[in-house]
Amino acid sequence: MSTISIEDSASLCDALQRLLQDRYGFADARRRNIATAPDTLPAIWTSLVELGLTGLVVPEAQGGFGGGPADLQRVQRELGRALVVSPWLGVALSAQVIQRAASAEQQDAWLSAIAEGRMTLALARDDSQDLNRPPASALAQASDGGWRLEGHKANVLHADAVSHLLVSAQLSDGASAWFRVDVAQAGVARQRHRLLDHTWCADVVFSDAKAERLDGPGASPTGALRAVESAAYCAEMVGGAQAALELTVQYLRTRQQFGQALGDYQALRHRVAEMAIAMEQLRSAEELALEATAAHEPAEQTRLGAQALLIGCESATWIQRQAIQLHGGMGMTEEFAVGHHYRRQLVINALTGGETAALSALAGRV
Amino acid sequence: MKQEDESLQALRAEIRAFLATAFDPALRARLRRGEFPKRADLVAWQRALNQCGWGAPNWAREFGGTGWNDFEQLVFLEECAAVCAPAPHVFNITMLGPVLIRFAAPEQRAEWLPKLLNADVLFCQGFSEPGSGSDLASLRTAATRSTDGEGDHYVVNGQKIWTTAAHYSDWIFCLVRTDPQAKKQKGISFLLIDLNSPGITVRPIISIDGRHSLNEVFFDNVRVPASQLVGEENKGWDYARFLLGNERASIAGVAKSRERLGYARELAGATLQNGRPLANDVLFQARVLRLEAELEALDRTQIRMLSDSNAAGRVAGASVLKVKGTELQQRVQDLLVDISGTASLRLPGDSGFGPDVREPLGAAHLYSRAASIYGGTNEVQKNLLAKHVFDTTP
Repeated sequence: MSTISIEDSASLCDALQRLLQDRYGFADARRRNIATAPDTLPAIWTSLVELGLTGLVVPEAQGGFGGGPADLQRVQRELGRALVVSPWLGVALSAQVIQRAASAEQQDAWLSAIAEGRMTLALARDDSQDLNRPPASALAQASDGGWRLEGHKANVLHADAVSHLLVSAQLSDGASAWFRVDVAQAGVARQRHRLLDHTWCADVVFSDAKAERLDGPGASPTGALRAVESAAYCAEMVGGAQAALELTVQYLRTRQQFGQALGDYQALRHRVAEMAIAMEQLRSAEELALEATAAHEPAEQTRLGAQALLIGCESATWIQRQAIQLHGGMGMTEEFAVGHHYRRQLVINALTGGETAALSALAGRV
Repeated sequence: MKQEDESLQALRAEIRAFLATAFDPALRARLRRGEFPKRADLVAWQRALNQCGWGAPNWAREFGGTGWNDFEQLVFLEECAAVCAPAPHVFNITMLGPVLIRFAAPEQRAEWLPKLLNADVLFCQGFSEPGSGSDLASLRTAATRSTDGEGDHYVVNGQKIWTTAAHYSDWIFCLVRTDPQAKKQKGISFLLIDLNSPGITVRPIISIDGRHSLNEVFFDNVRVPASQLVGEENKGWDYARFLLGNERASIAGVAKSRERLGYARELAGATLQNGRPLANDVLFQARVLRLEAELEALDRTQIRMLSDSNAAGRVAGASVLKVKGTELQQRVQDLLVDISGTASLRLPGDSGFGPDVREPLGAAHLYSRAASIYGGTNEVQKNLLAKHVFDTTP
């Protein structure tokens, strides 16, 4: 599926790595970036667009690199390592949806706009989950040759900073379809809050909101989208967990108690060894998730993707907790990066459904 | 329910009735959501307890305490935890009071114990230092004794860290080095220091949950009257060990974990998934049932440990309770965020947490990661426990 060469993809990631080292240091630049107002793209965004990241998974015909899930993983790993807060994953996943579900004309117009950074998108899929209420969804009605949306969507990331939403809404016959919605209209109300990892997140309410249906010939690509998304999150967890493991080893080397470095204590060395073992399981989860994106059978795709999420979330969460524990009090402060890696992991667990959703999927219960 | 004799049952009923009327439902709601109590909450509650004679469950009667044994204290703490009521002030009552009762001069006891009981002052604890965490005895904050025209006093210089509640406390009990020449445990003294003294700076540490409960406390030539030394000079390490051994009745947090688990059940009952309450989900039930069984077992472990007549056994038992208790506390906290989705993972806005009751759960979860770090990390506890097992195994 990918037309980008491995060498090109690797050199893109090298450039990204350098960019993040220079311009997204944890102690200062990242702090300034996350202080951005909710309706503004972070300062690093322009550099990411210039690097070509918004076109990574856009076909060459529309001005992109023609990258596939493996390339997406490579980038996501770097973003996870540097704790980048940006709408990039939502944009990349939207490009995947458009390629599968939009018409040829829509693809031509939208994908090139995405690649050039002229259009930014966020996915709006999750139903809202208020206590004591059934999940509220969004419904689509045909009207005057176009479409109108009514209802709710939750967990819409960076909803105030993007130009459009890609909404999964229900048709009157119960089937679901994708719609592109311009956020700059009265019918789109956003109630936003900030997640623990500093991502802006919104509950969106559509009231007679104007929408364009993605009217390609293909079916709604729910399974394929989930597979690509799991692959991306598994890769991000690898980047985050690797960073936390490195920080931990560096801390254990320097921190002295009872006249020796913490890293000289066998009990703590064993813990690091266990983290390294979990790290390998996590890397394998990243591979499984990539295999899932290429699976032809839906059942096989579900199985591989869910196994990847189960082992990935479990391993990464455990590594992150151990990283905090081995940092002692330091791990409990907002000043140190380890805590932020754990916060991001909690958000990934929640957005993907984590181990519970994965087990449910494996048991065939959803 | 475990077997309890009639007098414990009667006490339990009496405490439950008191809590039903005396504990403010609005405060309960806040604490149940996972928020921290404020200073005013702690003061008002300590005074309410003191008024009915329950201000110090772990002190002898002659000093204003209840004179309860370990089991009666446990019943009291369990009942408080079941309704999210704060325990008696941990620094004043659980930690400092017993040290003063055991080691302080009669005048010092007469001066401080009534104030501690009635929360006329709130103390915090100044033990950890940047270079002295697990290796606490390596602490370096120095107190130099001298006498000038204004009397016998210490001059204190140094820094404490991870000082919970220092920003709203009045006084701090500190371990300080009074004899730099002595072997490290031998040169430490136990001082009471007014946080309003000139030369003290309290600086906030924002923790992983984005909230402020921890602080650094800096001492720059702080003058402390020698009358604020507790017990004998250079015996502070013994007092600190005595103090840390006094948390047995609360260390496992079984009742708190049970309360959180009950809350998880309640939230799961109110969360609809595919048209059915999450509480009916078999995966959710499996987690809850396993945790309930673990807590039931730990409860019996705790009773056995409290009944142990062997002093070394009780110390080792405290390590068992700390490690297992905090592991279970954290697993319950994992469950709470797992069932709450992103609703529990929001940073508080300028006006605090929003109306969704799940919002503070993420912050509470993050803060619970400290449970296996503070009060002696679980790694240090395991070292102590292993030593005990090797020493006592024939």
